[in-house]
Amino acid sequence: MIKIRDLNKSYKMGANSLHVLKGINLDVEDGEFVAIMGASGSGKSTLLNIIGMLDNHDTGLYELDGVKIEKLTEKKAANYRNKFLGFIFQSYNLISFKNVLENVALPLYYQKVSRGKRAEMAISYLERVGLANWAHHLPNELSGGQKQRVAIARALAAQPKLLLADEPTGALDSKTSQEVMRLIQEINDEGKTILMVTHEDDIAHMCKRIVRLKDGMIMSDEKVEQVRAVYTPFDAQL
Amino acid sequence: MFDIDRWREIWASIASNKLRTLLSGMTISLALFVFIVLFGMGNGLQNGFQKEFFQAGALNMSIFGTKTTESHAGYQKGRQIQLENRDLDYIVDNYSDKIKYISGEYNQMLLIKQGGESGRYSVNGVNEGYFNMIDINLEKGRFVSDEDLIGRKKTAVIGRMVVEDLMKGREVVGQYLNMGTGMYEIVGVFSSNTNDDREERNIYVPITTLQTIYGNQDLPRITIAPKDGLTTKELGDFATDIKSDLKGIHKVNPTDQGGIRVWDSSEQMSNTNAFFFVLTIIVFVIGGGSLIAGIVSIGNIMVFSVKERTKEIGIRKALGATPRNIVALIMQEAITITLLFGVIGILAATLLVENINESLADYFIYNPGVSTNSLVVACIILFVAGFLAGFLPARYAARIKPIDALNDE
Repeated sequence: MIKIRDLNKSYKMGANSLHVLKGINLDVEDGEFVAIMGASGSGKSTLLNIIGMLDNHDTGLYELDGVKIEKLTEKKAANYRNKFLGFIFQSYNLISFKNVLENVALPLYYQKVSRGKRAEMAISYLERVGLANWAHHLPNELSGGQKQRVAIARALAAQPKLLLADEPTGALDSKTSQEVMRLIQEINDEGKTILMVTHEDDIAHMCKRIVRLKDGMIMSDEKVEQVRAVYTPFDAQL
Repeated sequence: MFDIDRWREIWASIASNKLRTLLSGMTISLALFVFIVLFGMGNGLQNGFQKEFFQAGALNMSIFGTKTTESHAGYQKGRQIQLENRDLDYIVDNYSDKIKYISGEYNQMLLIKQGGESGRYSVNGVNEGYFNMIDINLEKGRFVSDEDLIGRKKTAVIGRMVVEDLMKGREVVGQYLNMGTGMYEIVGVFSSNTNDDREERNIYVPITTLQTIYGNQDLPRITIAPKDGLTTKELGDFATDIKSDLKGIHKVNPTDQGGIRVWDSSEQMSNTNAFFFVLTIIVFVIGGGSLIAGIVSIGNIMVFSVKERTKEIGIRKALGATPRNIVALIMQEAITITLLFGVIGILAATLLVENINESLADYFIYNPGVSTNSLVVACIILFVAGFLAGFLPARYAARIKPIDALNDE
C-alpha cells in the first residue's frame, strides 16, 4: 500500500533550514494498523502530512498503492486526497455551519456524487458510528467524542484506501478515547489500512505495529500485540 | 455549482457577520443609487432643455452668401456671392415638403425721424412669412402683407420700444415715419413674447420695397423655419442639400468652405450636445468612482471572510476541494453580495427618479428617467464588479496550504 524510500523533508525558516525528515524508509501493507510515535519535533506530523499529500517531500520516493506521489499540483493533490485518503484530526475539524449529515457528505460532494446519493451514503456511515439520530444537529451541539465519531464517518464516507489519524484521542477523556479507539479498531478489523500518529503509549498499543521516530529518523519499527479497547455499547448521550 | 448547498453556504457566511456585510453592501447600494439618480436627472435636464429651447425660432435656418475662397468654373476666388429672389423661389419649388415658413431678410441700419425725435434703428425687409418665425405678438394693426410686397408699398411694422422711444403715448397706427429713404406708413405694432428689448426695437418693412429702393433683387439672407418633427439628422441633411444646390446655381466649388453659408440649428444643437456629453462624463465619473469604492469595500470584507474561514478552507482542501472549487466559493459569495445590494440601490433610485416627474419642471428637469437598457447594463456592471471584488481574495484563498490552514488557531 505505502512504499517510502529515503524520504527527506526540510523546512526553510528565514535563512535557516530545518531538516525534519532524514531518510525515512517505510513499508505498509494493505490492512495494517500502524502507530507512528515520537516526541514533539520528531517529524511524525510532517511524515503524516506528506503521506496525506498535504505537503510535498523534498527527495526520496513515496508510492501509494503503486502510484508515485511526487511534486503534485494543488488540483491533483486534491483529487488524490479525495479518492484515496480519509483524515481524522485531533481537533475534529468539522465545518461549524453545516449539520452533521452535510459534514459527513462533504467528501462525496467533491467526488461529484449527486445530492440524494450523498445523503443516503452519509446516513449509512453515520449509522455505522452510531450517530444517525444526530444527522441534522450542528457540530456545536455534540460532545467531543461524538464529534470525533462524525469525523470518522466523514473519513470513511469517501471510501478511501487509507485512513490517516493525527492524535485522534488527543482532545478526549480516557473513557471517550476508549470509545473512539474501539470504533477505529473495528474499522481496521473490516480491512481498512490505518496510519495513526500518537504520543500516548497506551493508545499506540491499540494498534498492531509501532514505528518510533526521533529527530527525523526511524528508531524502531516493530509489530505489537494489539490491546483491544474497553468495550461499552454506544451511549447516545455521550 | 449553484445547488442549494452552495446558496446555504453563502447565506451562512453572510449571516455569520451581518453587520459587516450590511455596511459594505450599502456602499454598493449607495454607489448605484447615486449613479442612477444622477443619470436619470441628467436625462431629465436634457429633456427639459430640449423642451424649452427647441421651440419657436430655435430650429430656424439662415442662408447667406459670402466670398468664395477658391476659383471655380472660370471665376476667380474672392468673389462675393449674393442670394437673390430666384434662389428663394428655387428653394420653395424644391423643398416645400421640409419648409414651414420661409422669408428673405434685407437689413439696413437707418436713421428714423418722427416729430422731434430721431434714432438709428434696424430696418428689416422681410416676406410676410417672417412674422411666424419669430416670437412676437401683434399689439395693434397688422403685419406686412402680400399686397404690400407685390405693390412694394412703403409700409412698416414697428416694435413697442420704437414707439416708446419716438412716439410715446401716442396712437401710432396710420402715422408716418421718416426712414431716410422715404415716408413709411405704420401699419402695426408688436411686442416680444420673451421681453426681448432688442427685438422690440426692430422695424419690419416689405422686402420688395427695399429691393426696389436699392435697385436689385438681392436677398442678403434667407431664413427658413423647417417643418415640425424633422430629426436632427434630417435637418442637417436639409441644410447640406440646400447649400450644395445653391453652390451649384451660383457656380461655387462644392468643396469651397465659403461662397454659400448655411447657419442651422445643428451647430447650436451640437453645442448643447457637447454640454450634455460633458455632463454625462461627469455622471459616469462620479458613479464609477463610487462603484470602485464599493468594490474595494466588498473586496475588503471578502478578505476578512477568507481569513476567518482559513481553517474551513483547509478542511475542504483536505477533503478534496481543488483550488478552482475554493475560488468559485469565494467568487460566488462576492458576486451574490454585490448583486443583492446593487439591485437594492437600483430599485431605490428608480423609485425616486420615476416619482419625481413634474415636480422639478422649474429646474428644467422634465421626465427624468433611466431606460431599461441602462438598468440591464448596470446589472451587468454589478456582476463584473462582484467578480473584481472577489478576485484577489479568492486567489488568496486558493493558495492557502491545507496543513497551514489546519494548524491555524
